[in-house]
Amino acid sequence: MQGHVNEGPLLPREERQLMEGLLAGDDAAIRALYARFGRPVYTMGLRLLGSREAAEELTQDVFLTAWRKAARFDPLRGRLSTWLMTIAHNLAVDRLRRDTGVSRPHLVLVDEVPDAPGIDEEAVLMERDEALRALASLSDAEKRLIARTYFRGMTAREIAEADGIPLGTVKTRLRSALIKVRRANEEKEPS
Amino acid sequence: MNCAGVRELLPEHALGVGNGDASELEQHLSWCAACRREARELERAAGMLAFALAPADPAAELQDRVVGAVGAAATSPRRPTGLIRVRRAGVILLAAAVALAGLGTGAVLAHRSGRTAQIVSQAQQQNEELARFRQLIQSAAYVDPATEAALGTLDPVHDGTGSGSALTIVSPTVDDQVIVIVTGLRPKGAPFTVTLLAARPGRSLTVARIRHLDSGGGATVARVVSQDLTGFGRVVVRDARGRLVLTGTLGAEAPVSSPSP
Repeated sequence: MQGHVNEGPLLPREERQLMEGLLAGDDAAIRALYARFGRPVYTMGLRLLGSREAAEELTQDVFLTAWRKAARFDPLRGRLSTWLMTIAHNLAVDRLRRDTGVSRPHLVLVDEVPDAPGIDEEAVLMERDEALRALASLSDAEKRLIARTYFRGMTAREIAEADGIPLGTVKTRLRSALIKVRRANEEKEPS
Repeated sequence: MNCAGVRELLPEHALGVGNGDASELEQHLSWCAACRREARELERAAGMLAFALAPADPAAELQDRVVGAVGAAATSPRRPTGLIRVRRAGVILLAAAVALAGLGTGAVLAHRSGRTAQIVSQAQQQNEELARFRQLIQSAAYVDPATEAALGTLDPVHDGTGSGSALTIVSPTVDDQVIVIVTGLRPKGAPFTVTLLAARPGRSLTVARIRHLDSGGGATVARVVSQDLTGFGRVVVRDARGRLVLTGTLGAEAPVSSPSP
């Protein structure tokens, strides 16, 4: 991999550099990406799919997919972390919905942050901090709604049928919750 | 689809649990700046949620597994999925025809093997998106060693008539594409709807509606789509009454050696 990548949050230029390295199969670039994002990707797999084996398989699939799609990544449209976690989420939900009958794991949204994180993990922990703050802006009902869709792969229709409420109401509440998350995050972003 | 309809779908779309065909939504977003802005806002919000999960530590050896898998994929001439890897996508249509002939899809290509150029020509007239596709595959920008193509044949359901073939192209650098060729369909069944289905239940993409058939009951449709076609492994063709007419699975085939351009 050419050039130096800083240890803090990545600049768009550095993200592009890492993705070019990934596309080329550069060992250092793949390791740098894994060091930053391997843990949250694995966490997504473990929390949504419920087993270490499934989480490991998902992690490998996510990085392979990222390699395959690396040239599509545009740092001007969004952060690398969001792009990677969207891939992870899509693959996990695909698997979750495909594997019918698999018991869905208990989700842990809030937990203690482990001590002494590595330098590479700092940026990810900052994003976790932002995410938790944004979730804190939601009511309990909104948190539950988000958990059922994003973390359990339920559609608005499935929720509407399960709760016996109109589909339109579920969709409106979903939008409202997402807008709250976004606004809470915006307040933290430098102007 | 109007703005109100799109706005209704955007939250689920952002959360990755959208149901059904997203192609109309994607098409709308490609030209409507206001809805696109809303979509990006919701996607950014959804993108943050992953980080709210309580962290878990993977086994130390997972890193070597991941690095090894990606490194091997990046240097291997074959994809780990076994899908066709086409070095020169500029000849992908011809390569597909060759591969399908080799698979013995006689019903399609026995009719058409001598008409490949004619099929392409007809398709250009039938579907303006095919013209875009041909431009893309002939452009230098499209030459990408990571391009994947998945092929399959379409067979009639029950005692129905007709057959077909389908090709999807998944590219890391340009929009993904799909081509479907059908033949031997009964004109009274028109219009036919061609749909791509993914493994995830409810995830589908309407490729095209075939309103007119040629004298052999055939048509060729092609479409360039903005969404990722990875995982779309099944094609179904339904008639005007919604009855299943043709179905087929796309997937791993023997490698296709690319003819010289």
